[in-house]
Amino acid sequence: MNRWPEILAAGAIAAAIAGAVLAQGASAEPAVAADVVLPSGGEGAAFAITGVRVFDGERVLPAANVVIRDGRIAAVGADVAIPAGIEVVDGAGRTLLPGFIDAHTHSWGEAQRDALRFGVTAELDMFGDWNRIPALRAQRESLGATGQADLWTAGATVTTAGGHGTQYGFPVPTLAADGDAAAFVAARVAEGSDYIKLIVEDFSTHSDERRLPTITPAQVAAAITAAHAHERRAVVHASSQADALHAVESGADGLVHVFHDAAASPEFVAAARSSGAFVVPTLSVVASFAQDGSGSALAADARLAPWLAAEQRGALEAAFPGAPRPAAFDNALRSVAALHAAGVDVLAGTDAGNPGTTHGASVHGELALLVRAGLSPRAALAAATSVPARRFGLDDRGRIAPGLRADLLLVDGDPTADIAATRAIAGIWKNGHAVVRPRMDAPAAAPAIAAGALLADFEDGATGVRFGHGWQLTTDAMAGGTSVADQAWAAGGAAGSRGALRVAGEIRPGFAFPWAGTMFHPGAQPMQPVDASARSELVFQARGDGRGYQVMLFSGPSMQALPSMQAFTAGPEWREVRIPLASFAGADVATLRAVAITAGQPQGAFELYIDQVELR
Amino acid sequence: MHAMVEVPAAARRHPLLKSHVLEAKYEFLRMLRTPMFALPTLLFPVMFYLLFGVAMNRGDGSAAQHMLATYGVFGVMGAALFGFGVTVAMDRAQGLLALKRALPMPPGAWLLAKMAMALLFSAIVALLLAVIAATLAGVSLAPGQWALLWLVHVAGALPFCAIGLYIGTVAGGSAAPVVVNLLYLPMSFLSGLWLPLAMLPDALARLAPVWPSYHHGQLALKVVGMDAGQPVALHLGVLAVVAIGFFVLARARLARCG
Repeated sequence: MNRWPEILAAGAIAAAIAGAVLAQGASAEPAVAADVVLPSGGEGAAFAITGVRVFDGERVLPAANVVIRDGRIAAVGADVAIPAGIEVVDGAGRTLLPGFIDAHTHSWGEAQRDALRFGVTAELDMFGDWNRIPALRAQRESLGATGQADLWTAGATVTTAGGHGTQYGFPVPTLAADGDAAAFVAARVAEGSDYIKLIVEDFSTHSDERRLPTITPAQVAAAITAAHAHERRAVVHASSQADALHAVESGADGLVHVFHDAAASPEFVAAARSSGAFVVPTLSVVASFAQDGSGSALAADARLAPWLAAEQRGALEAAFPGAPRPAAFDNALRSVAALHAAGVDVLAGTDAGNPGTTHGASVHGELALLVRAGLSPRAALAAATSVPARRFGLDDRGRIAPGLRADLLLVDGDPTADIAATRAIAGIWKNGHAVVRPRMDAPAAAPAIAAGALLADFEDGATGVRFGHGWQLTTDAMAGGTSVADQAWAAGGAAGSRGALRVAGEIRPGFAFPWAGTMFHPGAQPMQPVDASARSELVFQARGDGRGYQVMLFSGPSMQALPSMQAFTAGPEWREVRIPLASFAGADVATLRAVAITAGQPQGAFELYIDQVELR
Repeated sequence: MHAMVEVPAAARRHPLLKSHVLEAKYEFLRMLRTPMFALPTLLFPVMFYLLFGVAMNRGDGSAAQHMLATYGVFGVMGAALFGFGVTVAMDRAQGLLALKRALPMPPGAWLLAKMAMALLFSAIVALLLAVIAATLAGVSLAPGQWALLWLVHVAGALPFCAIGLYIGTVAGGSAAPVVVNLLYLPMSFLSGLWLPLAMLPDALARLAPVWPSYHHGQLALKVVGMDAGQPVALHLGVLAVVAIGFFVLARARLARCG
């Protein structure tokens, strides 16, 4: 009997099953790799986040499914079914938040891009270029993919000639001391200002000597009335309690700073509460007055640092000039506590654009400061989402609810319990589109230093280097000094070698910290950062006139950063100088920009020979 | 008058179809009147779904949706395996198969009748689950998805019909239910029909594609967007090979042993 059909059938079944098992192994890999790219729910697309804790702007849903479609939130809830065929992001252990709204910024240049990279999907500019208002409107009405946060702006502010806001080097409209506030406000409305910002600032809370002219109390009241007549909110910058009280009693919709000359008095709290005014405390910038290091701490947070642009890092680490004012910060914290306890709406705003703050990252710091002032994490999150949306009439944002714009932030952990968890960003969506977050830290961009430890041995009769831009004279002349230096190849190097580099000159008066010497740039261009983190030690031979010299290491994100220094002495005999790179305090060898070998104080002539320079 | 002439004429025109339809109808009635078959086939998937998809699920729509797809596969698989495996074995044991072959009816009619019966039971099971899912478990799908899921469930019974047929030709009448159960229950579990594969030990989960029920389950899950992401062609291919392969094996076995 012919059993071939049976054998064939059994073989085919076995082969199909074996093939299916093998195919499973092959297809499992790309599925994992695909997880890295976040799905989009922009126009014509949809995705879902499942089993995620949701802070919807007001409440917390412990485990919900969220469906995003066509740039908007389609459904939110524990029992929301996931439509077939759409991509799913596993939300287990994560929290989904509305994109943050920074209620006080000054947004120039890359600000909107910097903001979005940290989950801030909208900023409320409190003084900026009014010519861009039509473009800003179009941008925030669009549901298209974008790398920028949306922006509302006060445009020009209500300030007086020579007053605060006029000192930034470009012309701004000003209200004369006896000027018509109503007409001035009408002009701002005509320019397209989304709200009217008044500046009441005579600088008395900042300085004992310096005074600025400011608008009069009568003009404050008239401007607020005029703003309301044009159906615009009137918000007020006032840094003293007296001015803030007057603004609130005049009907201001909100204060865009908390005053810091005193803690809020019961009278002020009562006035703010009964008038319904909100407060944007901008604790980030007040903390910067106190120079308490919170900006630097934010820049150092490993959850934020890789995405900070060099300028952002510089801004966070920068300080306001003048002495620290810890009392101002203390007053502000106490005022926020009292106002929040009394039920006054508190909005998260950073005043980004000022020293110690930056767009995006500073909102995460502001939330922590609000919690420090006594808000619950949930209230702080509301202060950056639903509360500013409600108070500024941003109807389609600030909450996670069906129909609203899909501006979303997904973070690991639970910021309703630990506010710092907002920094562990797992995903950002703007208008439903996944936001690409390129890392901004310089080491990733810096080319690694070329192989080989030897930098220069001066054996070929010239001053050439094995890699990098070469030796370049450096003197204090660039800072206004008068020191001079010269460098050239010289015969007779260390240990009987053929040649060395001779640097000689004179340290002259004219600058507080004079210097002169030579400088090596490891990159192809001067001051271009290279990653030298594979190297641990600077080693060279030195011979000289017995003076003390310095090695200065330039590194870090900014070319202007101060160098880190180590001293050595050069006597008449050749001597090996070994300096571990780790001993350069504060230097970042992953972004090494330059190494300078210089003479400094005391004044007078100097002569130094160096040879056999190595970065080991 | 007209009717009396027309009816026999119509019957004469389609004697083949009529005998097929009648055979299928009686096979279906026979199964429906066999509580040992009908009750577990119709009630087990429904009971399972009510218990795990509704009562213990606490409103997780996505879990209910996943279970709708997999318990549907579990249900139709039972209808096909038992409907074929057990009845063919019993028919053989009682000599009914031999009798049917001797009757003046189309040669494949009994086979098609059983297939129609299995598909009809599958259709009922799938429909019952869909109604419960939509009303009690809060599953919401697009109309096209409901239809496609139902179609995948019902058509997916065919490879299990072939497996059942082969078991029926191999096992004796009293052994067949045991054999079918020994295959049916572990296969359901190991294919991830009761629990998601992720909850099984890794080795078992990796071996899941061995079972045709896994591929049927993946097709059903694909309709609701919850499959493991393998291509449709893979699952369809395996199911087609299994269906044709076991049918060929069963036919050869019947030809040899009756």
